[in-house]
Parts: sequence; C-alpha cells; structure tokens
Amino acid sequence: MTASAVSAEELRQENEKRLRQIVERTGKSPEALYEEREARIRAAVELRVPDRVPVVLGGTYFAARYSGLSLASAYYDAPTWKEAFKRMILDFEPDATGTGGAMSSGLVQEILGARQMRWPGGTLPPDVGHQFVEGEYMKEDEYDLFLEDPSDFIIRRYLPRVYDALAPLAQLPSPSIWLGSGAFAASVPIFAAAEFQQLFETLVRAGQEEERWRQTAHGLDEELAALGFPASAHGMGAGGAPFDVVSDSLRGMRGSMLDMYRRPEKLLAACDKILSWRLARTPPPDPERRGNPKIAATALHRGSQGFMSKKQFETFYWPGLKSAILASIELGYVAEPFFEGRWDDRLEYLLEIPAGKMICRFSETDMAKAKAVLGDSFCLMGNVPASLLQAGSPSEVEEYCRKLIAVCGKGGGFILRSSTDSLDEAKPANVRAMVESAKKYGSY
Amino acid sequence: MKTSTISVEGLREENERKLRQIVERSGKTPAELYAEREKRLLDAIALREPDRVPVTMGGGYFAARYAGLTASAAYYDPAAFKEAVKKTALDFEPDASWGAAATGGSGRALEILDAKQTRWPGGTLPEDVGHQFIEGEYMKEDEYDLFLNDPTDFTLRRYLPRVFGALAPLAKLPPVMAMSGMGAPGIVQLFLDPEFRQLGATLTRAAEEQQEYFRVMVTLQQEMADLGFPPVTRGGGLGLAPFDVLSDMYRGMRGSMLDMYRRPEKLLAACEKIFEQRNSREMPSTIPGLMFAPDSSGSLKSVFLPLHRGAQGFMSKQQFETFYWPGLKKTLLDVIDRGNVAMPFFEGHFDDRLEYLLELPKGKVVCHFEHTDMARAKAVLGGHFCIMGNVPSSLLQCASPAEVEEYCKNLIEACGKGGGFILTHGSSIDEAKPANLKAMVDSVKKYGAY
Repeated sequence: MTASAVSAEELRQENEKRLRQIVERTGKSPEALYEEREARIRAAVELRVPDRVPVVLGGTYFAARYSGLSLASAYYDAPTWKEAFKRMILDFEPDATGTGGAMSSGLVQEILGARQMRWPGGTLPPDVGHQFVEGEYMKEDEYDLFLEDPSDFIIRRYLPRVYDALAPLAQLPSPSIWLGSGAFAASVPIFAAAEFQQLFETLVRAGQEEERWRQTAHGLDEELAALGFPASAHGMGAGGAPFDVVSDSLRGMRGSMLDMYRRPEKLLAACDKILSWRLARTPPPDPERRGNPKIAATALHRGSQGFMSKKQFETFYWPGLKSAILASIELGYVAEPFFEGRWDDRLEYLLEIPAGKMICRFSETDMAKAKAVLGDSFCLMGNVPASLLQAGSPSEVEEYCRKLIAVCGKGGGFILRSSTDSLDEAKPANVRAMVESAKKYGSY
Repeated sequence: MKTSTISVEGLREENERKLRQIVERSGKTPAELYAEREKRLLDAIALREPDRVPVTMGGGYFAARYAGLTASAAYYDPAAFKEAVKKTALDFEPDASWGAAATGGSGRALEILDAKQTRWPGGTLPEDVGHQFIEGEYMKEDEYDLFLNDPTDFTLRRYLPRVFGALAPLAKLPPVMAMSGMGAPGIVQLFLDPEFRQLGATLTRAAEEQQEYFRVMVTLQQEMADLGFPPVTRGGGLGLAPFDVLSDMYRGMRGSMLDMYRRPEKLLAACEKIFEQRNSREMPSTIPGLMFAPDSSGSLKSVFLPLHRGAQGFMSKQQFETFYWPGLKKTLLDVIDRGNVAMPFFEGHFDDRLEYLLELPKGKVVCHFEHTDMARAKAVLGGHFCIMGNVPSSLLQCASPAEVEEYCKNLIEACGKGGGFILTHGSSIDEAKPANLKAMVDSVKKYGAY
C-alpha cells in the first residue's frame, strides 16, 4: 500500500476549523445540532412530519478518496481514515452518518491469511474496494455436522477453510471425544506438532495486532456525535435473514440455490439453527449508548426478486427474516433492513411487521410502489443510484432527488440516502447535490 | 517425587532371565505360548471348551508395588513401570494381561494442565495412593440445552475450563458461533487477552510431556506380546454407557440422580446426543488412551466398557430400563456391528437385571462381573455369553492363599462348566497380596482343566 498523501494531523486541524465554521454559521452548538438532526430522523421513523426530509450519508471508500487517501487506508491507517470520514461528514453535513464499516485491520487479515475476503492494500491493489469471496465453505454433506455440533463444524471445517493460518485446526479430533479430562489429556500430544506451535505464535501476533488496531480504530461513532452528527444505526440487533448466512458465508450462492431443490429440509433446519442461536443471545440495545431511537441495521442479499421466486422467498427466506426482525423490535430496536436488489413483488410481506417499528431501506425497488404499499406503516429510506452519483451530473442528481422527495416525502416517513453506501467512485459534486436536495426540496 | 531405588536396567535383565526360564521349563517359544494362551481365551469367548479355564490378571499399581516401585511410577516413570508390568506377567503367568490399565498418562502433563477431575499418585496424591476420580457438577443443571444444541461450544467454554485449571481462560471466550464471525476474524478475540497468550505455550509443554510418556509406553502391548502374553482387550478402544458419561463426567452422581426425577427428558436427550456423537463420528466408540490404542493386528478385536451407575446399588430396575439400558444396548450393538467383541465390566451388583443382556447377540459379549452372583450369571447367561470374574479384591488383599484357592475352586465349578468362563479378579488389585494372586492364577491350572 502507498503512504497517505495527507496526514491525520492535517485532517484533524482542518476538521476542527470546519466545525468552528459550522457553529459560527448556524449559531448552534454541536450538541444542539445533534439533537436537531436526531429529532428529524426520529420524526421520520415514527411516521411524523419533521421540519424537512432527513438525509443520510455514508461511505468508507468515498470518504478516503474525497480526502486523497487510498482505499487501503481503511485497513491500514485507521487514524487518518477516521479523520477523512469526519471530514466528509463535516463537509456535506448530512443528518446522520451511514456506513463507515467493513473496516478491519489489514495486517490481521494478512497474518491470518484470510481467504473469504479480498481487501485494498492486501490481496487487492490499494485503490480497489474489498470483495467478499463466496465459496462452498460448508460442503453439501456437512449440514448434519453443522446441525448437531455447530461449533465443531466451525472449528475443524469452517475456520481452516477461510483462514490459511488456521488450517491446522482441521487436524484436531472432534471435541466431542473429550468426554472427560483423561480423554483430553490423552489427545494433547497433537499440540506438540510444529504446525500447532506455529498456529499459537500466529494467533498471538494477530491478537497483538488486533489490539493495536482497536486502539486506533474504535470510537468513530462517538467522535462523530461530538461533532454533532448522529449515527444512523446502533448495531445489528438479531440480524437479517438466516438464509443469507447460509448462502453468503457457508454454502455460497450456487450451493444454497441447489439446496433449495436438493435438500430443502436441511437448508431450513440450518436456517432455524442460526435463528434460534441468535434469538437466544442477542442483547437489548445498550442504554448507555447514544441514540434515540436505537436502530438495528442489517443488509439482506438473496431474498430479492433477482435471486429467488416469490414461492421460494415465502418458504426459505421470509420466515427467518421475519422472526429476526420481530426479535430486534421486541428487544427495543427499530429494525432497519437494507433490502438490496429489487423487492417490488414482495413488499406486501413486510406489512406483517408492526407499524412504525421498521425503516425499509431500499436499493433498486420502485420507490413509488414502496410508498403506496408501505407508506402508512413504515418509514422508507433510499435510493439515489450509485451509478447516477458516479456518472450523472449534479443537476441530474438534483432532479432525481426532487422527484423522489415529491413521491416518497409526502406526509413524512421518508429519509433520503444513496442506493448503497458503496460510493467508491461517486463524484463529490453529485454527493453534494444529493445532500443539498433534501434541504432544498425537502421542507414540509 | 523421589526417584525409585529400582533401576530400569535391573528390572529388564531380570525379566529377560525369567523369560528364558519359562521357555526352558515349558519347552515352548514365547510365540507358541502366546498362541496357546490366546486360543484358550478365544475358545472361552466363543463358548467352546478350551484345554482349561483361562485366567487374566491386571498390572497397574499392583505391578508397580510388586516390583518395588511406588504407584506414582505409573505417571512419572513409564520406563520402569513398563518393566514392572512385564515382571508381573512373567512371574504370575496369566493367560492375558490388563497391562497398563491404571495409567492416566504423564503426571507432568496433568500438572501442567492443572487437572481437576482426577487426583493421581505423586501429583495431587501421595506417591503410593492409587488415582481418584473427582466427580462434580462440571455441567450445571441449566446447561443441558447448550450441550444439546452446541456440544463443542459447551466442551470448550464450560467443560474444559472446569476440569483443567490451565484451560480456565477458555471460559472467557464468546460463543464459538460468534467468534466465527462468519466472515470477520472474530477468532482473534481469543488472543486479545494476555492469559490466552500463555495458553499456547502451556499446551505445547503438556503436549511434549505426554508425547514423551506415550513414546515409552506405546510399545508395551508389543513387548508383552514378545514375552508371550496377549492383552485382555485389544484394538477396539474404550466404550462407555451414555448415562455413565453423563453421570461420571458431566453431572456427577448427585446431579444425574436428581435429573432422573427433575428433568428426565433432558437427561434422555443428552444420553441420546452422547451416543450419536460417539457413534457417528470418525472415532466411533472410542476415546484416545494408551491400552486402547488402535491395533491393526489380525486378532479378535474387543472393546472394554467399564459400567458404573447401572448397578442395583445405584438405580432401580425401572430406572435402569428407562435411563441406562437403552443407551448401553445401542452402544454395545454398535460396538458389535463394528466387528468387535464387547467386554463390559459390570461394576457393582447386576443380579436382578441380567436378563436384559439376553437381548444382545450370542457369543459377541464377554460379561465381566464384580459383585454379581456368578452362579446366577452362569444360569442366566451361560451358553449365550462368556462370563468373566470375580475373585473379590478384599479376599485378595486380606485372606490367605488357601481361602483364595477355595473361592476359585468353587467359582470354577459353578461357572466353568461347558466352557465360556474366564477367571479374573473382581476389581482393582492395588493392595493384593502377591501370594493370593498367585493362588488365583494357579487355581485354574489345578482345578480348571476340561
């Protein structure tokens, strides 16, 4: 990876200057601005009419590019990247900050030999966004092991496949034979093997690196709040669709799709297992943490029209997703599922969720249809296309937003946001046009 | 612990001399003697009449003492202990030996791991006291669901930290499912805590000690064979009744007994889970251990199954039928299906529940009894299974050789008829008098001819 052209210190000073300018211009303190912005979001979520349509801006890589950093900074230079994210927020002044996520230590990934992800500056060039590498990390004949002893599956099958450095775990005996202390002591010689000594050393190094990373990377939400900007999400709650875990992480798209035909019972049992595990363990939102309401954001992948029929959706996807959303709500969250892809023909299912308890974030779904079906029940969020933000002109973006606000903003219950926060290649002028349009056309 | 005053080399030389004497006296090679003894055992197991009643004998702490070592040699001085086991076989000349049966592996490895579920001579017990198993509620009453839904998570984060002090840091881990992160390097959380950084080094040290111990001990079965003595059980491993796993290892006697009343469904589900786990995996019916190491020799394979809580003294017949027998039966059938002869050791009294055993296939089980009435066992099971037993440990320790001989003579008369009987001691012989054991072994030669 290349060294950053701009230093964290330079950005920090610039950010302080900008905050002073905002305070001066508005005559309001960051705390007052925070409250004002959060109240705006809260009104939209609760289907009331705010002073104007709120707008959310996020984007890990857009923030880096905007400050002249390489995308790799999000994995290798947390202090500088964080200042760049703050700079983006201070410059565009959205009402809440979107995803600054997918940040993890590139060095830890390198030490572990991560295979399920490629990332800028590591296994990708410094200026290419990360890619998730799907695969059959769970084989078709491993459903039973996953169902009967999921942690055994994870330790001896899954982890060795997704991290090169964890390959020795595949040689362990099944922990199920460690019925007594004698049985464990008898199998302990395996740890004398050179591979295991290497593994212990690697994990210690990875642990030390992770600790270093966390010291510099944590606390961004709090720092943004101190600048006057609320977070748009406060965790994942009980998560999204269990089917996506199977499809994204375990079986891959191909595997999970074949499984819908070849072993539907096993597939459903695995979804149930994942769901019941989550339901048993998801804690309620932390009352000490800032945020009112507390929003549980999750991304949904394989449930859209492009991936499965409505019938498959009803069988394999919706029951688990519905339970997870209801669980998040029960715990005290407002759920914010991100319906990636197109959901036009399956919007009616969402009406099974209690009104006012969900923000429906859309990517490519027809927003007019969404407003017609869901407008009385849920706040909608979306959906300025990333393509428009990259390839359009500011006036085209403005025109899109104006129309979107006219259709979806009616009567409140709408938050403007890009169709995805992966704005890797967006033009700053277009992003500005999007955020400004909420201020220009969004007043009630 | 103090070093033994007996030299390994001295024992080895003595053993070589004894072997030469046996060969000279019998006019047979060790290989011929091995074949003769093994045939005697196999005939009895197959319900045929051998030339005489076979007799088997343990080694363990008796062997250590007999050779002038302390019991701790079994944990700390494998080379000397091995010679002691050989010396015992050579001096008493049984038809088969239980060999290293007493050992729990390297005492140093147990020290490094800070083992809590066992106490052992020279470690957490005096040098001359046999090991003790420390039962406890290593699984709490509210942990059945975790065990049922995610047994490895239970094992790693709850069980192992409780039974080994050195593994206590594992208790701080988040659930494995969470650590997997399904895409994020959550596993690294494991090594954020400095305590974990010790863990790898600790495991490595324990591994090296255990490996060294095994390196010495692993040849014992072959060395015994070279002396002409077959093992009593071989090749198939160690089996356990699911209820015993739960009662001995997880919930303790008190816990498992209360559970029969308070949460019978969970208890039965856990037994079923234990059975499935042990029998559907790559290491069926076995847990790793020394005398139970896999054996690829062509001889009859057998599986040793020590049974505890199914005896009359622990549960009613109705409880036995509900909680114990179904799991044991499935386990025994699985052992047999895999081509083994099952060798359950029925500890305690099984008098009123012998009939259940008739549900098992003829000739595929050797029933080893401790306190069960052997005449009744012969009456119920004779002609169906070989039975083995049961000279009381108390008799071997406190009585005279003549009393032992008398007991054996009566036992052979009651059980030997028509074959299908193996004479052995009822339980451990840690404190037995050598002369009494001699009387037991010699009695078959005197009274056991067919």
